[in-house]
Amino acid sequence: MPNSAISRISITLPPEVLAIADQLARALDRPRSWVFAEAVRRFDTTAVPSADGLARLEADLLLGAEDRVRAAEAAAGLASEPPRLPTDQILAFNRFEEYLQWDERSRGRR
Amino acid sequence: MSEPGTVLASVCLRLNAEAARYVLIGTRALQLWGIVAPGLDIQLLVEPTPANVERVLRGLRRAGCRFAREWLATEVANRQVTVLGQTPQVDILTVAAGVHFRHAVLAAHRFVIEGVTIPTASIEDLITIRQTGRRADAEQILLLEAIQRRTLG
Repeated sequence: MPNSAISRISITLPPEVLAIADQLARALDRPRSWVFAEAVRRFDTTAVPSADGLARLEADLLLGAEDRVRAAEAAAGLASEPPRLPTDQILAFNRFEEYLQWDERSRGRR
Repeated sequence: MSEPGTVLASVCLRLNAEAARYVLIGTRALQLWGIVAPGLDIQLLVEPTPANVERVLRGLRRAGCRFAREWLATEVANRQVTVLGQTPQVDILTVAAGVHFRHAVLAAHRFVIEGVTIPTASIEDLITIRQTGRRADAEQILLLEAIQRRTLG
């Protein structure tokens, strides 16, 4: 998982549960650890968006899709976000996970 | 049709003209569903055949993505992700977090902006793709789930 804030743990599982996890991982083309993380995330019904996030969402939903796209493009044009490097590029990734890692590095944030 | 005012509609207009088979994912899909997340980059989940990728590249080239001509369709079709150019950067994906075009297209929603139809990944598929462990993505998942509850409710 491309996140510096991860913890490495060792857990004991029934073999049939592990087999299911591995089957899901293969079917979804994701690491085994992702399957367990996703299962926990879905089990957690207490997670809610931040108050700021919800307030922004309420305002965003008052706009139509076209207006949202216009607003987002305008905001992107004004953003002071550091540009990706290099400026001209063709990049290829064999795996989605490698792309995520590059995306994180190239933006120099998160 | 007159030239669209947004980058997104302009690119999708060319893709549609080439009959390219794609589904919009990423930040641009979030914008259509309800979240004004700033961003010009375009992420496309495409049918991974050389013939279709050729149509995608042709559409991008006509939209002004000059890098599209420099890359072989077969190579793009064989990679999970190819990133082209900048401003807007276009990411062509043949699979995104286990989500394939053949499945995403069945659940896709067709938004229309500036008269251009944009096949867009379902909220459920967007949530799956956003399972990256990154904080910003986690927050957006919660917002997508809030939109999903409104849509269902």
